[in-house]
Amino acid sequence: MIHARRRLNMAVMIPGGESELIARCRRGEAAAWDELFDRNYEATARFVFQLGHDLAREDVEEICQEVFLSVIKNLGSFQGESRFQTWLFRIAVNRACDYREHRAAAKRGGGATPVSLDAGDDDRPPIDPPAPTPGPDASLLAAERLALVRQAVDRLEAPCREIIELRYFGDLSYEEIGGTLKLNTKTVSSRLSKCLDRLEIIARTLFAEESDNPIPSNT
Amino acid sequence: MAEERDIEKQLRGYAEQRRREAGAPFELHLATRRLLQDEVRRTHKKPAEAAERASLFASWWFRIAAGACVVVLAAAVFLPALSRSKSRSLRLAQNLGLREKAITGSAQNRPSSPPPESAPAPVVSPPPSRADSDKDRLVTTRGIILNQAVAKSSTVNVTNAITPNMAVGASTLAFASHSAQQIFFFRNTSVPAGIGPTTGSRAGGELAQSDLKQSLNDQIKVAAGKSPLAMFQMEQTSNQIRITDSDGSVYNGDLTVANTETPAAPAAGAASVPPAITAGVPEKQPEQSVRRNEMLSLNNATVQQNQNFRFNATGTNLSLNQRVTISGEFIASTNPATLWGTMPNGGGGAGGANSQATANGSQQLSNGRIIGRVVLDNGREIPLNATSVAP
Repeated sequence: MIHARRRLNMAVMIPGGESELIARCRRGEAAAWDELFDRNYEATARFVFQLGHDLAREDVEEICQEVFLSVIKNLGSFQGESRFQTWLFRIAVNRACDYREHRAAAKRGGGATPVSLDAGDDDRPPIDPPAPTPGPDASLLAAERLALVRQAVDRLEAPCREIIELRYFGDLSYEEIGGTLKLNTKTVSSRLSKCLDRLEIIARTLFAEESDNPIPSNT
Repeated sequence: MAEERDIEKQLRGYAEQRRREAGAPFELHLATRRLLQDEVRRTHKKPAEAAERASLFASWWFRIAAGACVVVLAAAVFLPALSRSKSRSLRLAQNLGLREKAITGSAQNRPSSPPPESAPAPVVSPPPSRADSDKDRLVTTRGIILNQAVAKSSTVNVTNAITPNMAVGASTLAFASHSAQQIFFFRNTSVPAGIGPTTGSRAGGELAQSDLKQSLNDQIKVAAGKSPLAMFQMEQTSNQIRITDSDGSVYNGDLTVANTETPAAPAAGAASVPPAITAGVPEKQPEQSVRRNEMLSLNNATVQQNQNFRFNATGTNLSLNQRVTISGEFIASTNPATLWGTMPNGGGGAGGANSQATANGSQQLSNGRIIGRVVLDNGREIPLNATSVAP
């Protein structure tokens, strides 16, 4: 009975062409894999780009590469209980989290590429590494707001963070979230509501702290 | 629909802002695509290849099965033919083995001190007593008496031919009266097989046993395949005969007794007396009758009563793949002295009735010469004038 229901769900959630495409990918057809990449890469990259206010395009490309490598290795474990993109976004959430943790650890240990003191002595032009963040004038205020929202999200527990990211950054429906998290739709709704409550509290706290500590002026 | 909460609006605003910041659409870089495809090949290659192999076998299994059936059918067709040719070779080899066995037997019975080579006349063996009458004796051209009873299967060397100058008259051989099998080897001198007469060399000296065997083997090899019964082996068991040709062909037939008048050897120089042939020769061979008449006149022989044996045999020649009918006469001894010595009942005069002659006279046949004809299935007729030769 349960299996029959799952099959029904799968038939409802997976488009006809997608299941066939996944079957071809499992047979190792290179063209099918190319088609799978083309269908999902843009959406995955935009989704990953929202998972961190400090993520640049290069970071997103690196995270997406890791995401699709995971897809290639674990496609056999995809049971078809949700849309493929939902399953893909969940992988992206995990990979982006890993990436950001790895980068934070690198920063704690120094993180910057060591530059020789004699680097400018030869005839080569001086080293001018690109800044990982947008320009200061345009992004200063936005970065401050985004940082607060993002910090609030990051302070959530993993289950709450995941469901919020899938819902608001990935634009997934309750059914899709329920399919990928193996939860009932009502459970998704109630859990999402509770997580928003927690996020609201955290965000309010953060904004209050920010308003209590204004930037000191020179005057 | 419930009104959207403030925190939800802030989240959507954040997402919208980040999407705008993303700028141009993300494209999968070529290097990244290549890297991912390499990973696809590494990860999904084995299952795909296994599936391909399975599908390949599924498409080829019918052809493989059909090929196996063809091989089995070919084996079923060709194996009997191979075994048939092997059986032919085996039969000839068995005949040769029997012959060698006979040679060994005769050599063992040969006396330790042979007579000197200069002896002009054959040694006449003493008349046998009645007690020895049941023993088969075998006298060679050298006058050596071989006890047939010791060697069940013995071989007789008879070197006789229609050629008048061949010294063969003293040879004597005997058919056994009992059912013991005897084997004789003959060479058809009417067939120009390129085989030289072996009489001279053999009559002049005692050849080593290995020389004799080698000589006969050579003759058989030369004569083989040229004409039927150029060189053949005759086995006699009671009144049944079995002729084995040099190519392995076997002809079976029977032996009957015929009283014939044969010229006796002159009193002096018995060794040079050719065999006497008068009767029992088939009438369809006039040229041989003429030859025999010439020989009769040359030898000035006296006529004596003797026992000759007629035979008829039929079979299929394997080389020609034709049915062959052989009819002929085994010419008996022409040397009365020798005949006396070998006749168990006291000589040819003792036999009166034909049945008596069959019983006793069949024990002895001298000079081992066969005259007759070989008729092939296609009507071709080959004269048969065979002399017994050493194995």
